[in-house]
Amino acid sequence: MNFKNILALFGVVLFGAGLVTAISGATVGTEVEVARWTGLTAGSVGTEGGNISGVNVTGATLTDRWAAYFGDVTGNIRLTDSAGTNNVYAWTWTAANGGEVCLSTDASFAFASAVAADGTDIDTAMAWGASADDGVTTYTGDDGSITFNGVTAITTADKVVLDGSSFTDVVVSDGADLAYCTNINSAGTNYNGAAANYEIMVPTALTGVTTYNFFAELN
Amino acid sequence: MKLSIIALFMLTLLTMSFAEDMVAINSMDGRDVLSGVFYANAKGIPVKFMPVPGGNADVFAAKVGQNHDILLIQGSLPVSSFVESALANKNNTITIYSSADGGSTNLDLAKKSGAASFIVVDSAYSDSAISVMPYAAKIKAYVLLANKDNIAQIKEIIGSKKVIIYGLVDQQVKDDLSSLNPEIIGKGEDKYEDNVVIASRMMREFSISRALVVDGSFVEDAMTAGDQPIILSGRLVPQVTYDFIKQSVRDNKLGGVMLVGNDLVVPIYDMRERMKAEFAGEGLNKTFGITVKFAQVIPSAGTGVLTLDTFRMPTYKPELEILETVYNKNSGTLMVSVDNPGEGAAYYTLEVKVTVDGASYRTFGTDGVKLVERGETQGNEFPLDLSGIPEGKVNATVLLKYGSFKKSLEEYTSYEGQLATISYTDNSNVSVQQARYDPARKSVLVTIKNNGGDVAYVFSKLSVVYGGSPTNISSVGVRELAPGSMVVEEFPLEMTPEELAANKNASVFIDYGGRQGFLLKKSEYVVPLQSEGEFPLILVGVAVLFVLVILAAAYFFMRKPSKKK
Repeated sequence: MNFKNILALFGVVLFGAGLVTAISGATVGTEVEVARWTGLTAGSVGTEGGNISGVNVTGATLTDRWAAYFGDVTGNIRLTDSAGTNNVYAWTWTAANGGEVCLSTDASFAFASAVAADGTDIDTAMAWGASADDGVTTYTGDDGSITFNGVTAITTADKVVLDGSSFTDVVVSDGADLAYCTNINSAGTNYNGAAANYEIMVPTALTGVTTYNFFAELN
Repeated sequence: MKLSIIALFMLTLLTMSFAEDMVAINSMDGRDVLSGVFYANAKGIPVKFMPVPGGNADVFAAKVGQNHDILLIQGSLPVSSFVESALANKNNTITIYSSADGGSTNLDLAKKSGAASFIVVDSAYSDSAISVMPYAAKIKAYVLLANKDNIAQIKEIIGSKKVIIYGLVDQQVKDDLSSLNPEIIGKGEDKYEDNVVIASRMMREFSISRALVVDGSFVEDAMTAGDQPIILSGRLVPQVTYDFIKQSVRDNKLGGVMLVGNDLVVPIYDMRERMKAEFAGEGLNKTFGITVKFAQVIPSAGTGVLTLDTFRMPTYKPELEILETVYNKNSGTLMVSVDNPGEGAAYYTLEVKVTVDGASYRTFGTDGVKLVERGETQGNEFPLDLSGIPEGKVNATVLLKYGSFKKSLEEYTSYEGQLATISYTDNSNVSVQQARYDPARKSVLVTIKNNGGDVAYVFSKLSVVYGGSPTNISSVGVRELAPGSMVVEEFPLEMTPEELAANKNASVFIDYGGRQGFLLKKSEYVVPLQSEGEFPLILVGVAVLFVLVILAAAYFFMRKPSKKK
């Protein structure tokens, strides 16, 4: 082997080494931690005002002490995914199955422990004095009935039969707050004779602000 | 001067005498919202937060009311810049707490709260904070959002007071608080498991027979009230949650649940119907109530019907898709590929039903729960013989249930449609070329080659002895290799000289195939683990050899003339 051959061999060795190192360069990133608390975190919940999968609400102010809300529960409860299939759920519901709609100032009214209430409770809650349209005058009878959860039957609540309407509302209490409820009626009519599945009349504050929350139970 | 001193004294007195009777929160940072709720609940005063979206300062002020002494927590990015003036117009006295950073605010309000006990949760996501929110309110504890960076401060804040650690937290958080003898609630392995533990505890300790059921991605007034436990669920009710609710109903300890919004209406009602049927099968007549809170209204303000006041929190939601459902007549299999475009790994099961002319023909299911990594597409094959059945009459229904925990599949997606037929044979050919350790990158680099003439997909795993024991490391995802191309897969791994000495060879496992998701071919290669550190030694050796050869040659040429002389 002469000197030229030795140099050529060395060159081949170096070239080979260069090939090996040239393959590198591609990288695989490591797993990225999911962003958290990045500031703009707020968003909406898919709950439309006055709607729960087809429940709608319309309001009407009756007097300075009372307001009424009515609506339908006839929308299709969506039981399928976006592909339109129905593989997961067996439960179906229409307004004919019945249920209750309630309004309460309590953000988390305890329906499971609800008991009958009366007009006096309303006047106390609203701090109303006696008047022609106060609580004791409006809610009467001691025989209003409603059943929650299919098991909690209340039969001695004060009630109000709404004028021109097919609905009767009852007042109940969870020990701390009141709720105004009616049974869902698939063939009901509201105060002006229009079709509605529920109608509820609630007292409003003469001073200050009263916020009512809508609740529904579908049987 | 005297006047200034008196003014300062009066101001100090005024500050000292201010005792808020309500907390209001106006911030886009969810940590401010949570911290404000925790602070108010620890002090036993009401709290209101500006909802997003739909936050209107006037409506907010109307709900807050008048003549309050309000601590207004205002974030560096408020929801509305009119909140303070709207509250002031209602004759409220306002003290502003400016929150520059949600993490610091959580700790600062902890000190101000005067709480006698604390609950520590992980700061990463809101699930844990929401789970403990009502229990903390009941026992008037403040909830600390902890991580390894702030645990020293948290330990100082807790001092000698009682502390509970809930759910999954950083190990350093546990270690640093261990000297305080904390009570541990939840194993930290499954958020739904931990959630039912705290919900059960609250129901038992405070004799509560109702609960809220939410998905944990937002807060709403019913949740911040703290008067009933919060049960987490997804669009599928996790088994542990189902079992807990059923047992509670069986024992007459749960009379009703409340849903916030309509997202969980169908799964929870469906769950109740299933339970009723199961109880009936046992001869029992048991059920529970479901109430849905769906809207709000302020009659006197003439607002009309409003959406519920909610604030969305950061939470991890797994996301899987059914990418492909086909029948491969060459292999006689039904192929279903599942893609994970989400932000983390997810577990899943598949249920497949094949119908012919509308009649059930075959039903398949995955064998147990499977894991699919983030960014991975995973193929599933089921033996299916459709010979003799004309295409077009065959339909497939695929139900993919998935979740972030193995035991809790809380989400689902499905596909239903005509089953397409393909003719496909996997001719892919992939091999491992070499493996070498790069000390500069602190990584093992594995070279993989597609020897075939078609595109191939490969997922690789490296097996080495690390830290004294055999260790497997997976590549981050599946690689696509063009025909005849090579790719270098990097496995981040810092190895000591001793570990390099213990790994003369490395095992590389590859799963590959010619169809995305269907990596059905598997090979193991044992290749020498080269080290970058060895490479210069070779060069030095060659160089030394080269110098010796030069010297020898020089000596040879120098000797020749002298011989001629």
